[in-house]
Amino acid sequence: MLAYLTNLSSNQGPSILLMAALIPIFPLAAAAIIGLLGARVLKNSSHVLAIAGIGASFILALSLAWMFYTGELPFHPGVILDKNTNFFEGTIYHWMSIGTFTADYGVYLDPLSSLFLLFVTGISLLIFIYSSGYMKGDYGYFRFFAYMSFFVFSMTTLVLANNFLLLYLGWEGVGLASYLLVGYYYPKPSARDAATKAFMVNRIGDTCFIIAIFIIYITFHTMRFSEIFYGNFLASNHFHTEHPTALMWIPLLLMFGAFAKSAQFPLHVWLPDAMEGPTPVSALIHAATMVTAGVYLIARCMPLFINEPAVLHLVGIIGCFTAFMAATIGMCQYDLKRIFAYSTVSQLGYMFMGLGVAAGSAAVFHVFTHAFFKALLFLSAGSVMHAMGGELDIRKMSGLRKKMPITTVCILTGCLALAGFPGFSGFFSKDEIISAAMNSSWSWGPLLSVIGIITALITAYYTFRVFFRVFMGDLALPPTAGQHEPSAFTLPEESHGEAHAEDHAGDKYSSHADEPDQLDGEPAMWVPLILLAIGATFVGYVGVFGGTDNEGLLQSFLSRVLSLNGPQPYLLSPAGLPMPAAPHELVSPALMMSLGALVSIAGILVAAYFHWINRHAATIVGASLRPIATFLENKWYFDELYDYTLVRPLRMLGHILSIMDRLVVDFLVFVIAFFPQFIGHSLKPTESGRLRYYGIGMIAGVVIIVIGVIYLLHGPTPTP
Amino acid sequence: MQPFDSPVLYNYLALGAALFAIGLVGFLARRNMIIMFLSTEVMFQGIAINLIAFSRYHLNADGQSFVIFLLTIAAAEASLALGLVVMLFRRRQTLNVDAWSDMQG
Repeated sequence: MLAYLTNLSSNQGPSILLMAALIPIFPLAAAAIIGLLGARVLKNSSHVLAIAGIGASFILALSLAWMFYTGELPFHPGVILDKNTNFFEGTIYHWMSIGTFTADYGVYLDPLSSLFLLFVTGISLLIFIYSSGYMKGDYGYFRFFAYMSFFVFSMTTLVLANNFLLLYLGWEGVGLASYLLVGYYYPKPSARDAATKAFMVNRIGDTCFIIAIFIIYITFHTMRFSEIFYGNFLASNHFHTEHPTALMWIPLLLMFGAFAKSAQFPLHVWLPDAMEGPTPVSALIHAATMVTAGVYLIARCMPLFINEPAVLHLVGIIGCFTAFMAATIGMCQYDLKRIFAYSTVSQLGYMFMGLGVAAGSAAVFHVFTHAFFKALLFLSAGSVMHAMGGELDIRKMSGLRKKMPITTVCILTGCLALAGFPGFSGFFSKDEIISAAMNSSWSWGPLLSVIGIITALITAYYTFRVFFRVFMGDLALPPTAGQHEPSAFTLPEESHGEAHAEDHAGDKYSSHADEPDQLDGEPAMWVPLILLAIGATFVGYVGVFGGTDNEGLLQSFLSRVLSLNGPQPYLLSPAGLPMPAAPHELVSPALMMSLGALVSIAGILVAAYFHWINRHAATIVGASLRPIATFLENKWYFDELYDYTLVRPLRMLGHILSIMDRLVVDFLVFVIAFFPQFIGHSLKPTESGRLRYYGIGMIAGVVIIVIGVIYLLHGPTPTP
Repeated sequence: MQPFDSPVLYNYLALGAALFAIGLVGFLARRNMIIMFLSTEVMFQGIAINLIAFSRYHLNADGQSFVIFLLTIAAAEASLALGLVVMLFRRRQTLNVDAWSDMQG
């Protein structure tokens, strides 16, 4: 056991701790400074500070990941970690202490958290750069960057936390940031509603999560990951027989928390609506980083899940169902961002499916590649939206490749990666999950795998439906093309002029909006796109090549994380507990890979026929499948279902309670209030306003009191 | 041993009671605000004499020190009350207290 707890030499510890501590602090400082000074001092240069903050964090995250990979800190030569070190833990400061309960602000670094930090900060950096071009001239420019920086702070806190309470702090922080950013265009009612919906749905999950934390504390008497996962609890037979119920409820409740944050089946409804926020927000929060917090939570708590196969399988089943459901919805949507939102839900489903079959590193691999290609897709969609003046209906645009060559190439890369085209990043990661499901020891694994393959086919189809519709074919632009997205805010007069002056300096096309020739936008927008496109193409290879034992680099990197890929040797089944057996090879991975490639190409070809070569055929097929299409266009009627089963009954209950309040509570209050009122009315005539009557009253009172006192002291007959 | 004969204490108490009664009648009978105010001061002094008389009678300094406070407070209250009277006079150009009976407490 103790072999797992490799200590770091004390003189190297602080520098790692300091670096880890600074990762959330830079964005927090940026958020605070922009929030305080943005409105008057920084104004349209707010992005500089935000980008500087996130850039510094990214460099630190890169150093830490490098440290876990090579065992050496850059700029601090000397081997400080041996290759078997599982994690580094340190306390930055003592957060709170109530009785025997203590919580620290500490960091927990291991390959998993360093990988998450790396891509969270890296993708955020590119999105921030993109936003500086995309949000130019917006009324709330500084506010946007303050929120975004705060979001990155919360996310890095979440990933770095060394105990559940701190993780919860970050968890709530990203929830808050998401609420603020989705409702960024708050004068729009739809944005406000979407923000409220996101917040409410997340609350359900957060409540489950906090209850799970309570149970964890009363079961383990600690909240630190190192003590819970690596301590003696989970390894001891006695502990399992003593707390069977708690050990079942903890992962179950954590699962619901993760499902709300990661938009899985019962709680997925908020994510597509959250597209009301500015597009970089969609890219950052709802694609690349925040929604992966749920995956992170389950991957982190794998030691708790691995002993409860039923819960783990539930994760897999729901993930698989969500992947399929969201993909089918994605087929029949017309809003560009909404399609990508459903594809996010679907891809997250894949990740949970991977976790459910105890293939944690495959799931994390998919998180990693998904971050690249989904951010790329959303930012490209943002470029389209920017160029088309806020129009996102794919029926209204066509043939954009002629006007937006860079965006077209970028989005094509993203689509190929999402569709799992052989050689692109999404292909490897998705295939690994499907293959792991097929070969898992769980008897339902192959079923999930087959559904996964069907979903991959649908994914390839709907992804390329968008691409062929929007970028291929004859040129057709919506009338709003070339204008800026109309701001939801009415700008004050002087800043309006200022913003426009800058627009003219930055964008060549806005001066001749009638005939736009190149709509890719400014370099700040397309440079990040190109970087992400390169990432979306090539990051997949880290998951297949370069590692030890015929594994990918990423897999061997993650193999040190406890239980991520099934039970660790020392955690192996305490007697009497059902433990998953070792995976066996049902279908060879090579065969699965070719199947995945085949399915992806088939989906793309179908989409090419219906949406590029013969668009008329799509209309005919669509008409013949009208009932199904309507069902899918209405998103399986989930919103309606929740409206009828939850929202309306609750509103009805509210009305009933309101009537009860008026009839019962208010009645009681009136009755009680009536008596003092009555007495007041009856004594009113004595208040004549004439001072001498008051004087007489006072004297009379004094006389009565004096007589009364004498009477009481001396009896009825005073002694003469 | 008593410092005064009992009738002497009675004399002082009678003086205090007389002053209080005069003040009371003045307060109730007059309408001029300043006179009414003076009457309350007279009542104060009647009580103060009572306190001093008893204090001397019982050879206990509490009553006398209490009177010092009483005088101080009376002075403070006098300045306040006169200020109020001036304010009221400016409003209605009269010192008649009945002019304010519409306030009705």
